[in-house]
Amino acid sequence: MPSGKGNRDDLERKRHRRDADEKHRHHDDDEGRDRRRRKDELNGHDARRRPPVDDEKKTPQKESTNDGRRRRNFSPEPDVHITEEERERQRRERREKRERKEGKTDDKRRPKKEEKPLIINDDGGDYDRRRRDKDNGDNRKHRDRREDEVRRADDEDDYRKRHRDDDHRRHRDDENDRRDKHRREKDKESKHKKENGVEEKRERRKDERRDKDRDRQRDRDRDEQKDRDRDKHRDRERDERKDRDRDRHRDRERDERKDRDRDRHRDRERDEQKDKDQDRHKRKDKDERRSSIKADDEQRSTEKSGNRRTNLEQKAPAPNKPDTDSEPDEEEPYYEDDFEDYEEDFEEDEDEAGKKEGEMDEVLKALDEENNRLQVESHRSNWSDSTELSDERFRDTPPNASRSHTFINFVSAKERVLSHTMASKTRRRAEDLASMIELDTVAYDMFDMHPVKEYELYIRSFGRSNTKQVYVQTNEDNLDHEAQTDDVDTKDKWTQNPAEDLVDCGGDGIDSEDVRKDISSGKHVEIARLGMFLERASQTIGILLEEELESQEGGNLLNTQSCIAVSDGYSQLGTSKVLQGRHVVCACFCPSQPDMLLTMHSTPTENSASTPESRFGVLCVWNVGELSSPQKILGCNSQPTCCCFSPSKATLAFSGMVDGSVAVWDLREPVSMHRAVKTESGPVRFPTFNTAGIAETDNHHSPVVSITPVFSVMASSQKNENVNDVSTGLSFQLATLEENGIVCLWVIAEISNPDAAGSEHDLGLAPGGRIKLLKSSSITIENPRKEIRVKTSLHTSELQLMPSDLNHFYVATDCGSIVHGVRFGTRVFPRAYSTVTESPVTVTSIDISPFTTSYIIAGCDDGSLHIYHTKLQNPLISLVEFSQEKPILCVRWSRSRPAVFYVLDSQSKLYVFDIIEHSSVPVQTNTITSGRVVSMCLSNDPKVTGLGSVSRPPQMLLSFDDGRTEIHTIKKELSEPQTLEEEFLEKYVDKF
Amino acid sequence: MFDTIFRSVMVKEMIHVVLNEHLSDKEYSAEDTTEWTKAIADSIKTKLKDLGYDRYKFIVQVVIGEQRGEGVKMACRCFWDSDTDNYAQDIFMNDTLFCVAAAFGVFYY
Repeated sequence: MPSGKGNRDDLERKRHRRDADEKHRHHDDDEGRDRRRRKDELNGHDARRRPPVDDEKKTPQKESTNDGRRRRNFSPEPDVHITEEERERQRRERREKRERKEGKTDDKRRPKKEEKPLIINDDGGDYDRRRRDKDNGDNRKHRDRREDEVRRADDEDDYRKRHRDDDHRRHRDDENDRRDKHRREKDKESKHKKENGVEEKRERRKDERRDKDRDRQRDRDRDEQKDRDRDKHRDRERDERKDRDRDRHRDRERDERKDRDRDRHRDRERDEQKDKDQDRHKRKDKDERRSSIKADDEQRSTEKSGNRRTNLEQKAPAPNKPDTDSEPDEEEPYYEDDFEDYEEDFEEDEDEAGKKEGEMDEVLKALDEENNRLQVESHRSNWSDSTELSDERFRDTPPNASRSHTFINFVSAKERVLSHTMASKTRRRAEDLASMIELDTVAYDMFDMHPVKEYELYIRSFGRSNTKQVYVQTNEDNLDHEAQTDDVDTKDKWTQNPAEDLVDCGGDGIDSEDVRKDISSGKHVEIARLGMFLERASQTIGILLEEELESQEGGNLLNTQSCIAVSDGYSQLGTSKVLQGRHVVCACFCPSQPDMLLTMHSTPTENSASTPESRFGVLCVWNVGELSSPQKILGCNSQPTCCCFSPSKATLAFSGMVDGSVAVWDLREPVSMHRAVKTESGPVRFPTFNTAGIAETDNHHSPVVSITPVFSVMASSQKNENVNDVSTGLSFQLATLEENGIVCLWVIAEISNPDAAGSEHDLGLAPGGRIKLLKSSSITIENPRKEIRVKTSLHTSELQLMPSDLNHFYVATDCGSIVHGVRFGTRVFPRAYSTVTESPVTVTSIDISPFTTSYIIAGCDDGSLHIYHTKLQNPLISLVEFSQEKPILCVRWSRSRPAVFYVLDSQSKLYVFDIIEHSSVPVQTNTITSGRVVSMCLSNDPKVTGLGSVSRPPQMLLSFDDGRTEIHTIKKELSEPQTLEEEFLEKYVDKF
Repeated sequence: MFDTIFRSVMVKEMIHVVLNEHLSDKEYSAEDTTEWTKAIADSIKTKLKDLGYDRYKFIVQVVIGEQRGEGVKMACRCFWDSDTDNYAQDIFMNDTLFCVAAAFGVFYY
């Protein structure tokens, strides 16, 4: 019977079935998970105790799949084992019943279940594996058979030991039997149906059956062998069926569950059943044919129940078959069993709870039936019978599979739609959430422990044992400080007051030599100041001594007896080095201070230009009481031509120059201001103000010939209130006459705040000077004789002011007349005093009587002398012959006697006239032989003016061209006023 | 929905307590640490659940290491929604061991 092809087909079929089972199991996974888990828990202990014997008999594959079941079977407790066996048997029986039932109810649906395995059939490449399985099966079968022989001989005690394997097998065999029975019955039924219904289907099936008869034969053999084994035990088992009734409930429950499972996995079950059906059909045919052969087997199974026995009888022929053919079939039930077993196990678990719920069984049973009915109906509605039949049997090829797929897809499509909707819902939600949720990456430092440093490690290990860490810093105070700044400049100075040893200061950087020099110069200053003080003091003292001496024995003062009759004696001015070679050209006494003398010196005669003093003109201020040396030396850069003191006090000295300038010396200035040129008698003072610096238009353009203050001692003496008014001493005007007949009037102004740096505007003002001259007006002298008015300009020689009326001035001219002018006003009378001579003569000197009587004397260069009354144009007296036509140099009224005047001619003859005694001849004629007298000057008589020392007699100064200057004291008869002299003079004019 | 937000401070406190409970007066032993970590992680997890973060899923990580002077650096990086998700962590250290326990709470929508 067994042939290559048949074998292969059979194997393939088996494989399909197995695959189906596996698939079923896989699908079952989802819902059976819980159950399985519980099962695992229950069997947990058994797992370890599984003996290795098992491995011999089962292939690893089987082990893996059948683990749970086998474990249970190997429980060490015989009682438990027995009960389990019993339960299994009961379960089997129940299953048989149910299958029978199902076979009836599900008959229609079964054929369709063939589809699935056929699909998988396609691959058909695992031939080797199948072969291997078969070989294993063969070995097993040999062993089993041997064991079976022994087992039959053994009693029931032995049975338990042996049962391990048998149980499985029996289990499976029983199932197969049951299934076969079912199938046969079903087949019969279906055959009836089909015969009644569709002829073609049956035909097709018959064809198929024919083809596969051989294969089926093999299956049947296998079944028979199993039946044999099972039958042996059935007698014993029957006793144990007491609980069957109760178990039946469980069966029903199982059925229920199975139904449910079936609903879910209908496809797979259907496939399985189809396979089974196929087998069954085949087997049935064969069984019928081989019923005779089974006879011996039936004898053994006589004890069994009718149903069972028939089943067994049908399956009996297996033993006759060759082992090799039937062996592979043994595998098959395992897989089926596996599937069934899950439910069984599950039942078991529930058994304990459900045992006493008998009444529930009825209800559940009813529910099962209902469910089944519904299922069937639904199936019917889904598929037409024709398609069912055609599908299940004859289309084992892919078309069939595709159909089954469509069904699966339809259901799964539902699921898919459902899941899709769910998925889309969740996806939408996820999308919504995703739009709201912003994921970001955050990094955390969870733990950061640094490695322990060596020192810490050291301290950790050694630092705790009676040690202490102490830190000490040595040399803490050893610090370096550094600073850098500029060196400080230091100088030592010292000073000592009063100075000791002529050094009053010193120190670094001061040369001791310089100090010495400074000191010496300072000393000099001091000495000068001391000298000044002494000078003044000595003057005062000298005056006092003089006065005292005079009061005791007058005339002792005179140094020498004068040879001239006029004087009682004379004293000579000292000649200092400065004045060497210079003779006095002009001199004047201070009108209010007769002891002050100003002398104007000529340029040095011998050419001693080597000395600086010789370059400029020199004036000297003298004190008459101390004539050894000049009190002050005044210097100027030009040659002075005339000079005068300030009228009220000898504080200022004025001088007209050859160049037309007028210079002022402020005698109050300290010596310190004048240090440029030094002489043995003190420094040369330079003018405080010089009109040479002012505008040319204001200045004189020809040599200044006469200078006189607009001041009258007589007038002031008459107005006593003003006499001692020193404060007004500077408030006077100055009149100057230049050679070309222009009279200038100057205002003396005192500067309150002298500027030591000099003035920018007053160029003539010396630095620090306090006096300056301001030109107030200028008057041009006109030639009074119109007939002789020639083109040549008028030359003037002297200017005198009327003491009693300072508005009138008289100017001696070279045209033989004295011009009378006024400072203010236009007309005067007489305009001029003529000399009545035929030829014009030059009036060289004029003098106006200082007394109230208004007489003017004028001396001419032709030796004539004229006496005028101010109101008369012609002279009262004209004296010509007395001088032998020698030019008269100077004429002066006596300051003591109004009727006396002195005349000096160029022959050094001094004539003294007394109008009262002799109006036409001089009273005295003194011929000075010692030298040529160049000038004569008279001092005011203090007794007359009331100014100055009353004891001082009036003096006359005579200067010689050899440089000598003598001051003569005028004799008393000339200085003592005569009684009624003035009245006489007043009347004198009336005589003419 | 955001009533109970994973608050790092509270959780840290809790972790601190748990760590002190489990590890105070313990010395490092390589065999026991595996159990300790499990126990600590479990207790942190259960306590986290007790804290009422119903909508959170938790990840608890516990690392115990021996202190032998080496440097250790642990860091983590999370890709999550910082608004809701948070992380709390505490360190327990004694002379022989250090333990870093971190609990991550991830909000489950």
